[in-house]
Amino acid sequence: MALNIFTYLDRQSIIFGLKQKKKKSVIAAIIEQLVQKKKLSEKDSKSVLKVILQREEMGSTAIGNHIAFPHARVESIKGIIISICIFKEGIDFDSLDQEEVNIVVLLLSNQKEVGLHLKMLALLAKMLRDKYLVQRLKKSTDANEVLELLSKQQQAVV
Amino acid sequence: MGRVEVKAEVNKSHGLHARPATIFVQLANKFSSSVRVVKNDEIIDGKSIIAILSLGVNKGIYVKIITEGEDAQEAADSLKEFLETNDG
Repeated sequence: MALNIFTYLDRQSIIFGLKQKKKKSVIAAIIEQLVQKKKLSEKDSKSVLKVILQREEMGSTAIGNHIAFPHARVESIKGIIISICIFKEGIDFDSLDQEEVNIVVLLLSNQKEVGLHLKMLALLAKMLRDKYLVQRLKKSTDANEVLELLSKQQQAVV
Repeated sequence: MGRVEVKAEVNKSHGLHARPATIFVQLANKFSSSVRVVKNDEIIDGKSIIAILSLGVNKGIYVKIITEGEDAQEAADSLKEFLETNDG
């Protein structure tokens, strides 16, 4: 069966209007939102934040096209958790090319799910390398609109 | 201007995930030649991290590296060596 991002993504996974503008505080704020929306336990949130920040210290996960993919594989996570955070104004994510980031896709998966993690990363990259889609997403302020754009994009690339 | 095509088996323990994809692109950008990566029938820009990630390359998969330019041979050799080295 083909991988489907909507197995892991719903309205609650889409975040707008974060006030934070720097990488570390943005990641912490997204994790906080996942806890508030009961997608992540308070207990797990601390280890997740630690692992993600450790990963970012090895090199930024800003991968071009105004996208960043902070991610971690953590033992206590079941399956996959995705959150997409949209910034109308670009933020500083320590990109190699100094490019600002408008879409932060936080991807958490179980420690053992190496294959699934790589497949999900590949599917999201395939969808989000489209400059036109990123332009549309960064102007969006409505979670339903974002889900619809992503749904059409997924159908187009799979 | 040269054009070089080499085949490489990806030997990174977890495939070409974000970290090795980033290092691959950093390495590719050291050369003036264009770099393209082919997996099955997909051809992507080898100087773009998001494009490399979109291929979803697992360990043990063969990809083709196509380089074109003044330093095409050196670029192809270095990138092949990087992909075939198992350093995580």
